[in-house]
Amino acid sequence: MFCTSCGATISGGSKFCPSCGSVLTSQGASAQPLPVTPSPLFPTTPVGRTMDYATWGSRAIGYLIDTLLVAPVLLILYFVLSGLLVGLASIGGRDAGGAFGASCCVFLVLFPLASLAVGLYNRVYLIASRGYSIGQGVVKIKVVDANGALLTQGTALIRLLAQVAMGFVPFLPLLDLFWPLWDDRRQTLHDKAVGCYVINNPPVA
Amino acid sequence: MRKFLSRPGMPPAAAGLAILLHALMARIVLQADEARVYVLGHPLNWVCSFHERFGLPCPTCGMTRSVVLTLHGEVERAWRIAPGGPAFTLGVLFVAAGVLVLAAAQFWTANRPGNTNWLERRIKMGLQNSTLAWASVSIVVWLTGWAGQFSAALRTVH
Repeated sequence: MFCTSCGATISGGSKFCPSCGSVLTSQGASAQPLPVTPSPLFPTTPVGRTMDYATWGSRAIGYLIDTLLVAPVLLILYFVLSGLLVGLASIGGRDAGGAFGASCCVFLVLFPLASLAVGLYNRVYLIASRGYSIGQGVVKIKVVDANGALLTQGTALIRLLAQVAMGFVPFLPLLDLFWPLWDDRRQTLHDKAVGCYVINNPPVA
Repeated sequence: MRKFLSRPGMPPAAAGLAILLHALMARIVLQADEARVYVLGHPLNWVCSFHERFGLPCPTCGMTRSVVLTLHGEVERAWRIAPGGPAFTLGVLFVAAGVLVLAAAQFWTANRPGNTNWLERRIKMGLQNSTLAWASVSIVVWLTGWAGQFSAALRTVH
């Protein structure tokens, strides 16, 4: 039987729905499941089947690992660019002492660049070809579309661009990371941008 | 670690405590005045290249000072340096408080017989709507504040 309020499966004899708490009267349960109602804020493709959404903890650990992978590239880019600035300043006969002082602006530009460079392999190529990035592989989760299929490279690229673009606005990356905590389908904002889901990746038998 | 974070209430509790711990560490380690940020009392002499070259503030100019001053409770001074600082910082602290309330609700519902999911659902919906609203207002405050400082600096430059 199914609850007519939220559509959850209920066992016979229950007085209350175990999902939404609605009182079940004789008309309160249906033999057919309710159609999935899209979220009013972010309408997404209705999912025709149950997905085993990854927990926030798994996602956060995977995200941290993927972000750590950006750090070496960021440092290399930083030292190359700083070296260039020092070199150019010395050629121009100007004081080179301020070259490293440009750190805040340099980091503001370099972090998205490094995220994009690493992400093209880690979050586009790998996710489109096998379903998970390096960090997601460690915690055994994967990214799928509404039909449970792997994302195309174009979709994975838009997802990456949405994530990098949010990095330019203070507060938004944090909101993006925390969004699955209160989202019914445990999606981040960049998942919602392309209508994909992160699910637990069952081991291959 | 993964299993620990999968228990009811643990994800929001970990997230909320992580934010508060970060804020506390930043408050202990960093100080700021109108001119610069200090790390354990040592001045951090980072300058903005854009500001140095053109004499005009970039969108993130003053944000670090503003955030640090907000964490020290000096919201008015922080607002004068960069209005986005207090807006975003208070938003982050609001999210931390919100997810801790969610964690408490999940702990409570997990150990309670009968159905109490309505409480968790209401908190989640409230968090979803309020964080979006806060982010929108913060972005407007940040960009409006920067535009005001930019136009004031532009008049000074010319």
